[in-house]
Amino acid sequence: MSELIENIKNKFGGKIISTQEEFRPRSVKVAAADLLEIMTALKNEEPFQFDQILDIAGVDFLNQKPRFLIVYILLSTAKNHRLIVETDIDELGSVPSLTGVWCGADWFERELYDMSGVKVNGHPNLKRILMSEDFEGHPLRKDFPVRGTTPPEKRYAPWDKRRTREY
Amino acid sequence: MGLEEKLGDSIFTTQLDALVNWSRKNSLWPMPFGTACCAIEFMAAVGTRFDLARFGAEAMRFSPRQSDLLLVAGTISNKMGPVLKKIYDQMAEPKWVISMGSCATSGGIFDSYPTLQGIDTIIPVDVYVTGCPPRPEALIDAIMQLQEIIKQESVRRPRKAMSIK
Repeated sequence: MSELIENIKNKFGGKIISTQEEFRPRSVKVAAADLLEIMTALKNEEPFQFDQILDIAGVDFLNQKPRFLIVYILLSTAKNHRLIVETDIDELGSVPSLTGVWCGADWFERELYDMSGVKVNGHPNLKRILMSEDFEGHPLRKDFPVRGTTPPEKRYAPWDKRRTREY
Repeated sequence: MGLEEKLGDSIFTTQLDALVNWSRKNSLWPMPFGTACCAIEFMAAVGTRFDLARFGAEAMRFSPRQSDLLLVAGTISNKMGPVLKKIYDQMAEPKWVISMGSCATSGGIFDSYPTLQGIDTIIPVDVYVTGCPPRPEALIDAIMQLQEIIKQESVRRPRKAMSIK
């Protein structure tokens, strides 16, 4: 067992659901309820010092329970190590916002909300970041049709009437 | 009119339309709206090898207020649609639009939720260029076709307001 995973296990004990060390970056799985506490410790405490959050991603396992896997990728520039923290949530569940821990989590969480429709509790400005604000649906959900759910005649209002040029 | 008989070679009579259209068609000022790989082909068309300057269309202006040809080269997403519409509205008359490439013309391969299925859903288009991306020759051909269109216009017939009703 690597030193990093050992430290994490010693520190958080039963809150770690599972670990993976076969591939790098190593990953740990935790419950969404413990996420904020664990992330705060991972950033601030000496053996971890994860000072950067590289990405947050939502994976949709349609027809499985719980439906979503939320993936947080961390980097420590001080210790030169990386870690993936994963958590499962249900379709109606939510994850706590990490904007208080890393400012950079702000846009990642907006993207998570925009693309996967996962609610992020306590986010200061949780609105769409990639799609327009009147867009309906969450495109990276596996049950989202590739052409979208908005009918073409309603997509470009109020200019959607086709016309040709007159001379 | 007989003026040539009196004044000889010092004057030349023609039609107003012919003169205005001749000057308009040989001095197009394009505004490149390049959002994807078509813009690279467009740059090649402007460059030395293909040289769009031969057709009088080399004065690129990145301000819509100073240009009269909107050259839409690339994929336009739904979110970019209002931006394109606003840029078109800011251009002064007379103005023309070339839709370069499959994406600007019809959405191209991006038949999907974020992509505008053709810019003619929001602005009127004069010439469409096929290709993914089109070769510079195709763009030059489009410019020449646009010149033919400009030739047939008239200053006495007011151009219709170009906003989409």
